[in-house]
Amino acid sequence: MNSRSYKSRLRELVRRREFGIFIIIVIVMVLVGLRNPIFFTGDNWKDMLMYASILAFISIGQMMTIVTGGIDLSVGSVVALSGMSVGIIMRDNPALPPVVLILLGTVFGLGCGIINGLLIGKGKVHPLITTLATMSIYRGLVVVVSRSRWVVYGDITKGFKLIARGNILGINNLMFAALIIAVVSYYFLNHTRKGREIYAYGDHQEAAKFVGINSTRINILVYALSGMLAGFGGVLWVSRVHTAQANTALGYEMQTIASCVIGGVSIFGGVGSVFGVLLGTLLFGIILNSLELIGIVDFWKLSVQGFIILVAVIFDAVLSHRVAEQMRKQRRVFDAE
Amino acid sequence: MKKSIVLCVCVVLLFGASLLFAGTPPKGEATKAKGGGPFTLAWVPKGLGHPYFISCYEGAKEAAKEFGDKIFEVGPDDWSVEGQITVIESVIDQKVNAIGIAANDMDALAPVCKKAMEAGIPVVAWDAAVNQSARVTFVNQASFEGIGRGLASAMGEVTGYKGEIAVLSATPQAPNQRKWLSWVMEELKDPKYKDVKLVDVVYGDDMTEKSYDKALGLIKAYPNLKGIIGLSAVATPAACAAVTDKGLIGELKIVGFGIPSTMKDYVLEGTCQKFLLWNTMDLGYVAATIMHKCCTGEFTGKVGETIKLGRPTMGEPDGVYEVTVGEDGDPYVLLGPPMEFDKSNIEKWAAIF
Repeated sequence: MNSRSYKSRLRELVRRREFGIFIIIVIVMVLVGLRNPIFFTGDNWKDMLMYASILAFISIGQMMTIVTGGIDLSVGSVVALSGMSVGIIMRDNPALPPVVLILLGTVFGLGCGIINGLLIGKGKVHPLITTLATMSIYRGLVVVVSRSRWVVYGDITKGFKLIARGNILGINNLMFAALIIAVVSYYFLNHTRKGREIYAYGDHQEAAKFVGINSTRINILVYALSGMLAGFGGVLWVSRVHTAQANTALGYEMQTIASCVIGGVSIFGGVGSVFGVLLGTLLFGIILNSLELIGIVDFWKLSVQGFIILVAVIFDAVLSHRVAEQMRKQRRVFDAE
Repeated sequence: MKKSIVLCVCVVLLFGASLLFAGTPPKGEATKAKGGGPFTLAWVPKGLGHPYFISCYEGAKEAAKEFGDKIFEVGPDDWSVEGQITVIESVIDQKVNAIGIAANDMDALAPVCKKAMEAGIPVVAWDAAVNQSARVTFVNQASFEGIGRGLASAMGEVTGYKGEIAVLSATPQAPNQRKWLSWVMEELKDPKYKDVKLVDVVYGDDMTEKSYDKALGLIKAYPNLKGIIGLSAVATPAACAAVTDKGLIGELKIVGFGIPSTMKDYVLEGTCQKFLLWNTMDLGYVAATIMHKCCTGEFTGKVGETIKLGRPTMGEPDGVYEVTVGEDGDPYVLLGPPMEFDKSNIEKWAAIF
């Protein structure tokens, strides 16, 4: 009895969309760890998770836009704009407490996101085009507000450095933030009306309209959230690397999109989970931050990264296809009975 | 109706915001009057928003002002080869009188620069060369050999000529970094470096976060690492940030390239022992002066030709430069020896650039 429920629970686990990516993560971990045991040290994991944390919550914002069938290409620029603005404000007012700076950065991001949302929701401009345009606009604004000067190590106050390095309840602040955001997003997406509406809207936009889901509001909501998370991430980013530059987070949108897709988010909308995105970013963290440890020439690392991603996605697709097949067979058996 | 109003307002606001800061766009009514002037000069750095290139442009502006020329800076905001090609094409269409370029790739930019030369627009490379066939001359900030050997010997000095060292570079195809790296390796063959082991070369693509993560990776992968050479002005401070975070200040030494204002605190805290750089404002000044003289026809780039500057530079106190033959056999103009920065002089220079 007990073993049966254990078995069925295991089967349940295997059936989950995220299982494939989980397997890949374990395989990569074992392989890297075998080549270099340093991989399993706490220090390495801390570095890796600090990197993955920022990516994780910005990817969760990205996921919400992708679930609605859209995309947010402007996140990298928003990270840079928020980070640069906050850096400059800090340089001019070193006495400002870090909490105020975090709030400011988040509000900047929110503002950028709302502009995206209004253009997409009210203006009915395609998300791809809207955010492609705002990506350049926000990036341009970074150069403008910085007046082509970097925010450098000496400009960053002690308190601000501690944002990324301090701990809450023994957990690094970045990981703590990512964890809280993941839990809240999970609850929001799965257990609130608005959250379910996002999925419903992404699954079938026409049908959603008929059941009274307000598409404008959904769009404004998801892009505002995505922008807000990116703005928050920008502050943490600057705190982590001690500097803000014009090319900060250039190309970052691709990493967030890749994390989503690896984590099982359907690019066609309607499908995706917070848990999957977390696994996706974890895989990214491992392959981007631990390939140094396996001692291959740097030229090859990029190819190896791409290869791992490709294997992960193919493995995931094959597995989910097989699971779907099985479910269909079971249903047939059930119907026959 | 409401929708379209909101849309319009959003678009106008965004457009307005970007225009507000953008200033006046450069006009393309270049005068073709050879020998006269004023001329319109296009200044093309590798990318926008980098303090190194800002300070070069400062020097270039100084020269342009001297001659009464109009100079404007235009570069790719993504630091790419493609972006630079597009930029050059657009300044050719604007019919500028001369182009000064810091090339992102020596060969890839040659065709478009050749096109400019064929259209009668002299191309002067500075900071990073394009092929000889596609330029009038190249203002080289320092000899590759001098820089490469200088970095290696600085590393040897601070580590006491023993231990594992690594190099953090920009991109694998960046021409300057490639040459510097090969001279670093050449210098390390000297017997006095027999206890120094170059264990790895990694590339941070001139992006801070990537460079920072690569430096963290080096520190983890090689627990006995004693030194990192930063081969670009982005790589060196990123390596310093990683060393600071890992609490290895003083144990893991850093030398490399840097800009005094961005490196100041790392040097004062003892993270970076020593870094090199040439006088970037001199570099811009010399290049822009040559661009002007190309327009007037006073300068053609032949070996042995001399240029008289309006003011002395750090490398040439008399302000006279001569075209010489470079390491690769092509004629170029050499700015002078690089400067060394350490605790003793950093504060003075950080206030300047």
